[in-house]
Amino acid sequence: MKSIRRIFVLSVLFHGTLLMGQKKVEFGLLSASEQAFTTYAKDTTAHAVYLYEKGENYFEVRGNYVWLIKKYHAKKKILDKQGLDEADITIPYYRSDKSKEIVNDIRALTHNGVVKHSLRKENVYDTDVSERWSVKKFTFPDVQEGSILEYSYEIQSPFFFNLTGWKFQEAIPKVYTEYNAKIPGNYKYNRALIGEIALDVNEATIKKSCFSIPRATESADCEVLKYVMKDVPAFKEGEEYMLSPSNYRSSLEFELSELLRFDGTKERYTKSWKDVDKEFKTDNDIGRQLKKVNFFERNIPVDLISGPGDPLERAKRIYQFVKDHYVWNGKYGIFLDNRVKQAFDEHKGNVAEINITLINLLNAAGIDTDMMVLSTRDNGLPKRSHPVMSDFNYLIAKTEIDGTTYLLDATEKQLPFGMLPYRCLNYHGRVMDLDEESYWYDIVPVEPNMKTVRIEMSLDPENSLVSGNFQEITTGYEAFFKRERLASLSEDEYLDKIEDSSNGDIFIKSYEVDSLQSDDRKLVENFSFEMEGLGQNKNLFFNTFLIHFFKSNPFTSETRNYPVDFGYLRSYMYYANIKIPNGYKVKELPKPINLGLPENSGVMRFNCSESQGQVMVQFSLQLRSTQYTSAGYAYVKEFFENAVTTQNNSYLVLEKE
Amino acid sequence: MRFLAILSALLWCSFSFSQDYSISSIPKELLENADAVIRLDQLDIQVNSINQMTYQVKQIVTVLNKSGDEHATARVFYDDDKKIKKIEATIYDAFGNELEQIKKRDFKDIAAADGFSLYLDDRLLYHDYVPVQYPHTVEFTYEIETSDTGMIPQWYFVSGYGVSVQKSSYTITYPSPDLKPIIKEENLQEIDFQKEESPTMVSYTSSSIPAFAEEGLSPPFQTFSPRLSVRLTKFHYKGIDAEVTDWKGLGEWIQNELLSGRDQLEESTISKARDLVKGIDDDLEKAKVIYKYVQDNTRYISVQIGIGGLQPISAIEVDKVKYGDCKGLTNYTKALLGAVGVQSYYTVVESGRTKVDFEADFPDLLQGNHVILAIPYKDQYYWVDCTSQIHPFGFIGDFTDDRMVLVVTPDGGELVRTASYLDNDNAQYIKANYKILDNLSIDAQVAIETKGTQYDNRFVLERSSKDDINKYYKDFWDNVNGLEVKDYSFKNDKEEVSFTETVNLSARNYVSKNGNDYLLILNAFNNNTYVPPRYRTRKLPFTVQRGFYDQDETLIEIPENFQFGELPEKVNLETEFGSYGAGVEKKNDRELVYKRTLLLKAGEYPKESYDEFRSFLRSVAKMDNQKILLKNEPQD
Repeated sequence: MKSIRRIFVLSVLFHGTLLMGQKKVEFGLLSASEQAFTTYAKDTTAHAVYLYEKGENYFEVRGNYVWLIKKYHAKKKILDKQGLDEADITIPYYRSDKSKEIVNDIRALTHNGVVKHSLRKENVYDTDVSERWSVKKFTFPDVQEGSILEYSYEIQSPFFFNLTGWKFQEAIPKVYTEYNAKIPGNYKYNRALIGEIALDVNEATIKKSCFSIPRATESADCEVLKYVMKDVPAFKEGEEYMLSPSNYRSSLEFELSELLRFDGTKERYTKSWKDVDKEFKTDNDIGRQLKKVNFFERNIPVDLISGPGDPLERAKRIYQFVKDHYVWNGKYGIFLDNRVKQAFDEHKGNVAEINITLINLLNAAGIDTDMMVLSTRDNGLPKRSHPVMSDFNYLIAKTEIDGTTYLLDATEKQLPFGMLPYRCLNYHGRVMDLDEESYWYDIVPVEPNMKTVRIEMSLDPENSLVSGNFQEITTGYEAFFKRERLASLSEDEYLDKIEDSSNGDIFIKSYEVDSLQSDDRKLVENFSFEMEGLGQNKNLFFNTFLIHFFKSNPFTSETRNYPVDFGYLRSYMYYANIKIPNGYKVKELPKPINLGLPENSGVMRFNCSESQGQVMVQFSLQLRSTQYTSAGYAYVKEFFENAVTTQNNSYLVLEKE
Repeated sequence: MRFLAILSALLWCSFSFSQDYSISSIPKELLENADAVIRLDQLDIQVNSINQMTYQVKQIVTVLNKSGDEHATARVFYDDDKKIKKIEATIYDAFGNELEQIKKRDFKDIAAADGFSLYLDDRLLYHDYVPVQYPHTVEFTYEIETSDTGMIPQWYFVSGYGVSVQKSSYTITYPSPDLKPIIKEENLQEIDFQKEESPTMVSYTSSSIPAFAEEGLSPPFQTFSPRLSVRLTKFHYKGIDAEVTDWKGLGEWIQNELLSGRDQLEESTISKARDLVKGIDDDLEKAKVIYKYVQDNTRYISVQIGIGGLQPISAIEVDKVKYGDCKGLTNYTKALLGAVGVQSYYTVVESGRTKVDFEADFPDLLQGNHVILAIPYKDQYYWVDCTSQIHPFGFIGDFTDDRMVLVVTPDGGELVRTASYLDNDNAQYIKANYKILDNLSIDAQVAIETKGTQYDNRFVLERSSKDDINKYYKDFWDNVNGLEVKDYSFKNDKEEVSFTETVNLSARNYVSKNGNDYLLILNAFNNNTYVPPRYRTRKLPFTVQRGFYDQDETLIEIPENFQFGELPEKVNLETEFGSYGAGVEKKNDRELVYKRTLLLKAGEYPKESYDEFRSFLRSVAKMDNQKILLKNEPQD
């Protein structure tokens, strides 16, 4: 092994206080305050709480190899019986084809007052959960309400990229959580602090000559990091309409950027976008896959690429071809080994394989197309400060035709040209322009996304029957979701769902898609229906909403700690003509409603009128913003509550003459 | 001629055994209601000795659409005593051309997970095929070798709804008469089948079975679907031999091989248990104290290894770690009861909301998935579930109620029916009052008392978080929009098995303005909107597994200057499925009393009654939505 040729010394910004002499926390001993802890006043709804949590990551030579060591030590207090689930512990560890992580020294102790019960080795179970991940599992012995559960272990890892950071915030609150890392200067990690909670301790110092390997003449300086948060509230995962919780949960994220090994070899992971661009252009797997133009030209119908039509027509033809050719296997797999040729032959592949095919074909047809990488909604927003390639998990095509930019994804059969799946509506992605430099590009959802219902119906009190026709017109994402449902359900199942979404016991007698009026971003459906049980009383009460858009308010929490995100702008319209039966007259009409959200970001209108023996109902609800801050949550909640009330309580009252 | 006859017979054989994978050869009647067609479902079992059995499975399934995917899965569970000798799959397109071959090495091998166990030693070999086209055909074959002859694969001629069967074949061979299986034929009147028998073989075949369409409220599938139950009287399971001819014998085997000696306790534990019941003479009272001790001190953790799938971990071990699965906790409770001189019996049950009986004439190890404890007292059994930390003593709720179970007594096993909760036992009494405010909101106090299975659905609220309770009420009263729970309190009377919720709430805009008048839905707090789905022609009978009885009384107060419009007449519905009554009475100018009762009876009903049943519940939904007008006219 060669000696170290060069030592990196990091320039470090000093934050907070200098290192202070810290009392070492010994396993098995509780502090006086831990022993005295009974309730957690800061969150009386908590079922369990971390009293103490500490992680230490550093590098160490064991048996001639340098290992990443990740030590963990925690003490949790079980506050009530519902907190008992916290006694079940799962420790995941990783393996590759060649090597794997080792979990060492699992210790666990239940403190019941002064009585202690320790975990026995044979009660630790080992299970593989996937090809890459295994877990060690155990549960604490003799756990009672009030028990303090203490455990520690160490993961010895050959994978330096598995130094990934620290989760300060989790499902239960933490009184004290501390993360330490000691990183030799020649291993470089990018880092980011996520969330809005401030660090109570934020220290970074340099320790001279802290790391060396046997037979080396020189040693490396280390960066010594210590981060602490105190009284971290529980993170409550939310409701509908939200981006990934990982955007908001307090954590520290590390990503390996560069490794200068002690034998002098150097491996660069990510550093700047320039480096990333270069990698994609030269030796990156994905970059290579993008240059398989010849393969595709040999294996596709000749006139697909060189056939007639203007560029847009040809692009649409190629898009349709790729959609038809492939079945998406449900995986994203953008950084795994992508085998585009094999996927093409087998007619199925992951997101990367399908969309790389699309990019190749478009380029082969002379339509200049780039690859854009992005992160799906549930994967979190990609960091914009520096390249964190592991933030990205998705890949699409970006092309420009006659001055219009199109973002394309060929994984969904029902998706029209120029639209992305809902999962991709995550604000921005990076276009990997192989000729020039890469750049950020905004993902702007298509418009309009409307759902419109038009109803003509008549009431027949004599037979206690309501009957009529209605039309549903959906556009944009609303049409796409409908088409997906239509494709995955039988017609009966589909109609059952429509019947369920009605305000009453309707029965659909006939159904057809109006293909003349429909196009790829618009779906028009015609229904005829009847509904029994109108009644024959002197006063008839009839809900003017036969179809409702929302069964109940999707927002039930009192408060919300992160924004509401609808993904795309949406609007709902409802028009009904209700024929008044002979012998009856209108006694009461529901009152008109006109409501708005602050800053004109949403509006709802409802109005009924009577004319020539008919009652006309008009309702519209429009959202003019895709995202509403947590501060605006109360308004959104109330707005939807009013929409639901309007749908449920708008009765037409008829009276027998 | 003779020669020719044999030749043609041979030809016919070879022809009939070469499978045609194209979809064009599927008879039309098998496509009706089907998402998938089982072209061939074949199981050949060879019982070679008491502890050696092999079997081969061959399934050829044509999947017609996405919903049919679940009928063509390629997955097999195995463990230390059950080895997969061979496994492979081949995919064909609609014309029968081969698309893809999946070899053993293409299958994924992972630890099985049941979603609730901390650890299981079962493993799973599987391949998730991603269909590129519909229809397509999956041929899946595998071979198993096992020493466990105590669980012989059962046979369903039809595996579920939405799937038809072209050919089904079950064959079992055995070396000697003492290993001849006992086969119980269930619901075979539904199909045409051929049975063949020789001194060493039994086989069943059937062809052309149309698909069952799924309908709401259908009886459990296994109660009407054609199937075979198969067992050996002499068998081997996880290293233990057995000979069982009846439930008494199976109970003996469980007692002697699985339970015996497992109920030992440390001396200190025994004296602790005796201390707990000091001064109590009555056995039932002692049992209550011990059960509470177990509830307060243990928790449910499932770990299943080898025979541990059937055998409880020892009482000593549970006492140390204070956790266990149903077997371990039941055995532990039984041991503690034994220490204080109270007799109790380990009891095997098929748990779940659907009631499934142990079959009186068919003792085998496949029945039952849970264990509870039976405590005999004064000619009656008291049932307790030791995995629950919260259920009242003697109350098992709808998880194990009203079904035949195996009680393991020192004299062997016996089948006994567990406690049942009848229609009127499952009661809910609501006493409420709400006051309408000038701004059309309401303020309300609601008291809800529940019993029986309704208690079982509710008393867990006591242990829920505030967020969950708020969500629960918003969902429970989803007919009341804008509901805010102000406060609540609960009283859980475990002795009487009765749970009382007292809730204070408000709801914005409960009353809606219509023109000059106001509209009020009388029934705010028990609004039944469920109407079972309509079918053009109902094919299956229907069941109501558990009945219930609801009784509500609500006092409604309107603001000053408001007047009641016309009040609806009282309604009374009497049907064979139950009864309903609702009515409103004016107490004074500003107060109404709304009263309502609903009784739904448990029962099994023929398909012909379905429309009537639907119409009953539709009327209930309609009446529950009864509205009156309020006026706001200046009075003289």
